Amino acid sequence: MTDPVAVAPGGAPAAAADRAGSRQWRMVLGRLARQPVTLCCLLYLAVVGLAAVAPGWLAPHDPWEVDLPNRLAGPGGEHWLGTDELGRDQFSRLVFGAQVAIRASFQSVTLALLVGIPVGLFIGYLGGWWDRVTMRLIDIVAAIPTLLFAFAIIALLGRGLTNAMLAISMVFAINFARITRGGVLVEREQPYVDAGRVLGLSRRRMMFGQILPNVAAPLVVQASIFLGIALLFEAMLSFLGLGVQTGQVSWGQMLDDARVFSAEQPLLPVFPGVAITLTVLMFNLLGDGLRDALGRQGSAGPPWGRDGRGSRTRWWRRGAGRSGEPAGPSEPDDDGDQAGRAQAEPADQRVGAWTTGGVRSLLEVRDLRVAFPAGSQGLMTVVDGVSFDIGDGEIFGLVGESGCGKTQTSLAIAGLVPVPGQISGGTVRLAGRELTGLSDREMETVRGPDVGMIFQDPLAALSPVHPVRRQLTEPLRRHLGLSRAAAADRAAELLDLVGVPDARRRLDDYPFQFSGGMAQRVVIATALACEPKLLIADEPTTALDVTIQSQVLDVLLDLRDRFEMSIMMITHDLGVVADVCDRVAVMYAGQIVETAPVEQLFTTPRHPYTADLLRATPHPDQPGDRLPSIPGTVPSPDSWPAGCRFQPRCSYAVEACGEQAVPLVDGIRCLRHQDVADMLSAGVYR
Amino acid sequence: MNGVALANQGPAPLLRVDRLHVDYEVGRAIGGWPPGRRRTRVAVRDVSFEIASGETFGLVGESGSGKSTTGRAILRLVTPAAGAIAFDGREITTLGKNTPMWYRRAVQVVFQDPLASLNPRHLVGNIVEQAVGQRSDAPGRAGRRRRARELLDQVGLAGRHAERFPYELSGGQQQRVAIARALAVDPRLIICDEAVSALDVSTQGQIVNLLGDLQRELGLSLLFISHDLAVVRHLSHRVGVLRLGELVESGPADQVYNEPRHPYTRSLLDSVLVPDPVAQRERRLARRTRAVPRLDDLEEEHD
Repeated sequence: MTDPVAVAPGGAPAAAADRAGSRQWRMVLGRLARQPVTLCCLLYLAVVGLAAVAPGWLAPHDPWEVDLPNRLAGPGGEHWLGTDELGRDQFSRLVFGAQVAIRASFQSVTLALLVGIPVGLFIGYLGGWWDRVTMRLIDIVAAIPTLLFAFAIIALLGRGLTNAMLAISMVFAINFARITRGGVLVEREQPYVDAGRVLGLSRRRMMFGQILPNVAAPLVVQASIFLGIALLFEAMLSFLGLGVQTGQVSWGQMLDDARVFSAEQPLLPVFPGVAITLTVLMFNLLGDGLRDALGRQGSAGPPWGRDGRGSRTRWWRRGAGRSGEPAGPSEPDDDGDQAGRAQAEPADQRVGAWTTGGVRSLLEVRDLRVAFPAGSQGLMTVVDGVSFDIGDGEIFGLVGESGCGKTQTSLAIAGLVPVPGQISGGTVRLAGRELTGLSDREMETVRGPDVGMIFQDPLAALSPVHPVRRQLTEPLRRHLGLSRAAAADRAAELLDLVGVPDARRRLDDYPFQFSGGMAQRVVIATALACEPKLLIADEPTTALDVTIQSQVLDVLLDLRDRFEMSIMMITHDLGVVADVCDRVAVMYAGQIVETAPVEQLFTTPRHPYTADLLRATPHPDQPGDRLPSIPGTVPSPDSWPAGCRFQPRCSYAVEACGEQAVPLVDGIRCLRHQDVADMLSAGVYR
Repeated sequence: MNGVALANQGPAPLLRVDRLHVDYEVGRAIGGWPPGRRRTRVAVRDVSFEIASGETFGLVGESGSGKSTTGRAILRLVTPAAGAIAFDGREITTLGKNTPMWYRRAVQVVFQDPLASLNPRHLVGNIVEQAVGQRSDAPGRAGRRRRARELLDQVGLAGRHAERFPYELSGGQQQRVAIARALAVDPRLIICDEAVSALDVSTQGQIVNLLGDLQRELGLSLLFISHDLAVVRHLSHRVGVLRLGELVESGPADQVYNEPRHPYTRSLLDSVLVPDPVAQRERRLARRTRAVPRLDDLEEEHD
């Protein structure tokens, strides 16, 4: 195999691969250790636990030792927390009460886990009649009050704390079953479950080995909270005289006793009350801490990555200028910082040679930087000194693989860098107006009339709960001040313009009633509502089928011709670039590595990355045995190599490439571009 | 119209799909009699094709065309409403509820989303070892580990990757793990359901080449399901084109791509964007001037 991913020779550390569990636990414990509140909870619960296991060690007195002369004494002296109506030591009784409290809550929660989780797994995974019948039974049981249950069980099985706690155990089991089932229903649709089924794993292994670890986190959290509730329930039962038998101490029973004598010794109910409240609170806080520590690794993702586009789905709300949105992007750094950065790489300021060439520039981006806070290391730059111009009526392509910073560049231009990211330097000038540094409110007047945006997933860009009429007319009424009727007329015109058949009738349809291609047309129509000068299209056709893709691109081309609109086309697809773009910038690892008119880029690519990308793109007319590929992967922003960032994957790299940052000169960021051009023109591929 | 008509001569095919019909339940009817009657939508209708031993069959189509459903029916993840699927001469639609292990070992799958197809709570090594444990001659614990390392090596991963969680790998590496897992049971057919669609261009080539290499080395058959006509062209010996659940055309890849017989195939091919501005401009002109059926209507129809 010539696949160039690093293939280390065998003999890798033969450490136990079964340590997934232990490694995960170490990670979870590490995160727990960084939560001071949770540590305090654990410490407190450890003490309560110790009291429960060995109350004799902690209690200074016998909890049943009657000392009538000292009855109802206040705290202090020999009895730290005073004595009760029979002169028994309160502190010792609290310590012994912990035993009952902890045992009762652990018993009930353990029993509930043992019953509830298998039931939930079983009905969730098998579904069908098992699920339907069991869920209805569960609904019926859940409708009976818990206390009534407790009475019934006591009537059947006799008095006693364990019997009474069976009632709450049943309630917990139902809850665990429901939570488990809900989790299983989500996980069951995951491809890894299908893959396990295709491997023929047994049902038991699918449920307990594959799915359970993925639904366990909320169960652990819930178990911790249920421990607190069980403790409360035990206290309540004991308070009502249904719990512990004589000869045992319970916090609830102490409260009940204290009730009678609280007039004589007002402090009497305080201590058992505090013990109950504090312990329940600690179980709940522990649950919260566990929730944070158990979050599924990798699902959160870095804020600049694919997952970090949460704010994009809400752009329509921002664009529509609704109040109550979270704060927008942070203000850029002060001017001094920008100046400092500009001086650091003066070569990037030589932009003349690759500007729009005579045509007036609509958009001028200079040395744009976007950074995200990265823990203790300060800022992590994801867009690193990007400069380009877009002319009037020009379609400008920004190409690169995922993680190259092209989306963050576009979001920065629109003032939509997701929090906590920020524009850390550079300028964005639209028709002469500086956009960086504008407040969120000012940017709202820019998005819409000046800049329109369309995104990859049309359905995420439209509000699912409003008909498209509202989403189309709101910007018209807000920015252009049209009346309701006029706005509706204009909205219908817009839909017609982007090729939605029967436009007027479809105004009252909801987004889900549109197919993917039609929904993208609606998004384009909303973006066009105020006839923006610049349309930013971020992977507008990636989620669409090929036939629909070419139609949507047709719409964009027609609109450009009709409105003289400039379009910034962000894509990873060189076919889209070839189809619609006039000029192209290729991005790699946060930087532009090459800009060129589209024909030149495809016929004589100058940067090795561009050339490699072109060769790696499969061509439907050229069946080849092997598809050329680029070794390795795009580095993430925290591991950009020194010097030229493509150099570790570049087949033309020499030692000098890794030594210092390579400037962008005349639209090319490569030390060896002359040599590369010679070799490429001679047909020599490395 | 029908793939069987073009069946290749020679030995009996490894997989024969004959008039496959799959319905999806889209909900239960409200009102009517009996109440709660199932409402279904046809996902796949009358699809027939064959895959020979060591052959790659490409199945192309747009979203909603039933290409993934066809793959899932072969994997026995959905139950066909009608039709027959024969693997190595044995009928598998009549097997009943439980799928025998011989079939599970013979047919494996690689899904589109590499991260979601690996259990997030398991280490990469465990995932592959678990698959090795499903072999008929499953070795002991140490043997499983050794075999898992060999498989990871075979797909171009290093031993250290076995100690990682899936999310700690790049997309291409995750897909290599999924391929290693599929290979663990020595399958004869691997169904690649959009296996490279989620990957970057530079990585896509690596995985396509890996699949091609493995096929040659191990004599595997591949069912390569994709919406990307260019990638399918690269891997497939024969190609089938699905539209709205029906196979509108199938045949040798060269023939389907160079002399498409069905207008839908032609419009699909016309819509592919080629990475060449000059050629693409001509294609665009040709496509827009040619009177092609309005695909809007088709699209609205099936959504």
